[in-house]
Amino acid sequence: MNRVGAALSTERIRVDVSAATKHQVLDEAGKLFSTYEGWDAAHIAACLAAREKVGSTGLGHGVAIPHARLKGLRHAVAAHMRLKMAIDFDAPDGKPVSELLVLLVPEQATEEHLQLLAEAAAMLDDRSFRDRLRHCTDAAGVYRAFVEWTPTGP
Amino acid sequence: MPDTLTPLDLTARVLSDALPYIRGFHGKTFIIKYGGNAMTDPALKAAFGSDIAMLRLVGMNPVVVHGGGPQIDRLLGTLGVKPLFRRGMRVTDEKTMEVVEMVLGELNQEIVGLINQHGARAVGLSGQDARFIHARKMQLAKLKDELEAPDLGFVGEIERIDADLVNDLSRCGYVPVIMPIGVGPDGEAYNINADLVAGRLAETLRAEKLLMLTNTAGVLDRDGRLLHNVTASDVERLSEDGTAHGGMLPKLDAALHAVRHGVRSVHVVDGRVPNALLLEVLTSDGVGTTILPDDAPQFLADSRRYLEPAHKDPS
Repeated sequence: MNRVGAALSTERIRVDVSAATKHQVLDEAGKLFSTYEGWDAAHIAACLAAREKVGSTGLGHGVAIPHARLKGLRHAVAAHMRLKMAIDFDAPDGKPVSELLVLLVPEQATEEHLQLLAEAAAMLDDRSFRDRLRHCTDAAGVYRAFVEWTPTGP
Repeated sequence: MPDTLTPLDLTARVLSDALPYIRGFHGKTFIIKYGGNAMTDPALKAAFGSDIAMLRLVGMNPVVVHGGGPQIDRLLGTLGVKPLFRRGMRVTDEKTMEVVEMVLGELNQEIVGLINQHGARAVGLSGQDARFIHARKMQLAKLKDELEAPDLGFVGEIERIDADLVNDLSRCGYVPVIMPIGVGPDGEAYNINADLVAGRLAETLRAEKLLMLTNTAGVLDRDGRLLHNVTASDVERLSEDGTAHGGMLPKLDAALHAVRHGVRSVHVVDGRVPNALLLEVLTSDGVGTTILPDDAPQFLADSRRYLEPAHKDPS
């Protein structure tokens, strides 16, 4: 299985998130992790917001990969959120974002996590993957789309 | 939740999905370079007129710049004049210039009509109107293998563009439709490459996007594969190493200039796809190549910086 698929779980996939701003969507991401792992939602949201200050994690084409490192985390975990309505995310192409893959990584082992992020970016840069993802109507479908993805081309 | 959407569900979804784009781009200026098949095929022409009217009527400010290369060639052919190009640009003597002005004027009115038929109000302009495109004769530098630099005749380059006229028209709800004629200090009219006019106009008007309709899938790599996203530096490389050639060169030149001077993104759009403009502006995935400035957020480079141990997290 690919790295992103291994970090994801259907419990952390939402296809009907309501959020009107970038700030709200990061809060929702914090809550999503806190519900299933019992972590501090506000702290996660603050860490995700700190990464956004370095530059928007919007990739263009309506997708974003907010991520943060988290003290005490043993291995990378992922969540996926689809917004009911796309929001402004300061993406490079100026387009609003509606699909967000959220990644939390441990504090150490930077290179490994860059590879995870590179894989996540390659996935969401892949147009046929984006099309498949958008057509999934439930968490199980979204999960399958992620775990079944394999790199194509050169 | 049902797995399949009914046609009614789908229509509702498509319409409501457009809202964030309409909201995000409300009042923003889009420069559209119109050309190629989209300007000759009747079905594509109608779709273009309706796309422009739609963008205008939902509150965006589309500005159209058009060329007329193939139509000019056709009339020159009828008149027995052989078109001559140097470095992708038309050599324009006095007779050719007359033909250029005639054809562009006719096309301009046709495009105005096309947009009007779909319910928006278009206004045709030449750079001579209110002298808003200031030009000078283009002087090419001599290349190594040339005895002397080619003289392009009445081919101009842009000195500057006054934004007022076009801005005023946009503010009043009109769609400016611009033909690429500029005026020199002596009042002489010059033929300017339409891509370059579109690029400079995008820069002067601080446009949100510059959209260039072409007859290709977009910008291609060395093996002829479509590049979906490129940066300004990538574009420079493609021009320099000869991967991009012919009519794509002025397009990339214009794109490069635009993204390096404040235009957020340039899109080389496949004009053979019906409603290509709507798809590009109002949906997440357009058709063609997106060109971004070098200083646009770079996901992996930024992530590397963020993951470096020195970066401070809130605690």
